[in-house]
Formats: sequence, structure tokens, C-alpha cells
Amino acid sequence: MENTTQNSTPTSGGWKVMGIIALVLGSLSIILSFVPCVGILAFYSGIVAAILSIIALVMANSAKASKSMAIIALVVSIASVGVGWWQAHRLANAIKDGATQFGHTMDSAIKADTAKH
Amino acid sequence: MRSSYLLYNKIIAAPLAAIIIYCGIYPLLGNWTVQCQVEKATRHACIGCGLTRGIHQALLFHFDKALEWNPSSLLILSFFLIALIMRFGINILLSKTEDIKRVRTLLYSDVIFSVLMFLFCFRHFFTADILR
Repeated sequence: MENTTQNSTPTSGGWKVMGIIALVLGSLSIILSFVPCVGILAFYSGIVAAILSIIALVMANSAKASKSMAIIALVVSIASVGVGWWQAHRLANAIKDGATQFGHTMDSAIKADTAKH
Repeated sequence: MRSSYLLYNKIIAAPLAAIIIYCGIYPLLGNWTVQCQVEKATRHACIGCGLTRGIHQALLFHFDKALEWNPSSLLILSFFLIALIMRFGINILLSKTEDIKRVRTLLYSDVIFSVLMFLFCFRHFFTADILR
């Protein structure tokens, strides 16, 4: 009886702590992912949070405990990965637009120069 | 649920406080500051640039300088401050509440209020162009 209690306590505590760490990391990632300066970095922390929440989900499943926290952590971390990806996409588009604009400027400068000569 | 929520509030308060402290003491950190990934890639300032310097100025009560560095700095600082105060406030309320229905109501209202506050304070970052 004593052994059962001793064995079950670390397992039940383990999924809870893992779930909370995943949720905290996921929450921070989703907050920071919207800031363009660090949004791309939040993509990676979101992936770490998603892995931790999957581990928490598996642990909660094996401990037959409530999986709600692990699921919330997983949803939040996937959302932060999505927002981080969106920031990277926005940046890529901005670079592409900048390059196109630079190309147009160069074209018109070359045309003006050719017309002069 | 109550104990997890209490623990979550305690843990999330630490990074929230760390962000505010970082903005407060960043001139002392020298090279150990966060570099803008967008500026690194494009050599152009993004809409998030100047946020740390803006929040730093706001913490020194130089609000006009804070707005000059970044127009969102005051909103972002108020988001982090309110979120931090809410963590402590909710933990005090939770420690006095035993009723599971009240805990659930507190949790849902906290989530809804935090999400709405986040959307309001960070709105500039997802509506404006990424480069300045």
C-alpha cells in the first residue's frame, strides 16, 4: 500500500509539472511571437513547448489523469509556432517587396542614364 | 485544477517580471541585449524596434521619449504590468476560494480578459507593415 502511494505520487506530479512548464513556455512564446524582433525566435521556443506538452499528454494518459492542461499547452504552443511562422512569412514578403522596389529603382536609373547618353 | 492554476500563476509571474526588469536595466547589460532578427536580416528597423528603449524610458516616467522610441511601448508595458499584478491578485483570490465553480469562473474570466488585453495592446504588431 505504501509502495503504491510512493510510486503514484511522482508520476502524477510529473505530468502536472511538465504540463505547467509547457503551458508557461507556450504562453510566453505566443506573447513574444507577435513582436517582430523576437517573433521568429518564438517559433523555436514554441516547438520546444509543443514537444514538452506532448510528453505531458503521454504522461497524463499513462497516469490516467486529466489531460486538459497538456491539451491547452499543446494548442497554445502550436498557435505560437503558427504565429512565429507567420512572422517569418511577413519578413520574407517584406524582403521580396524591398528587392522588387530596389529592382524598379535600378531599372529606372539605368533607363535615365541610357537616355542621357 | 486550483493547485495547477496557482502554480501556473506563480511560474508565469517570474518571466513577466523578468521582461520588465530586463527593460529597466538593459543599459547595464552591454552586449547581452536582444538583437532584432528583422534588422539583422534586412538592415531596416521593424515595428518592434525601440520597444526595450521605449519601455525603459516609460519606467523612468519619460513618456514622451517612450512614444518616440516606439508608439506601442506604453501599451506593451501596461500589458506586462497589468498581467503581473493580475497573477498576484488572482492567486490571493484563489487562496481564499474553495468553491470549484468560483475557481472555474475566475479562470475563464482571467483567460478572456488576458486575451482581450493582449489583442488590444499588441494590435499594432499584427495590423501594421513589419518594416518601418
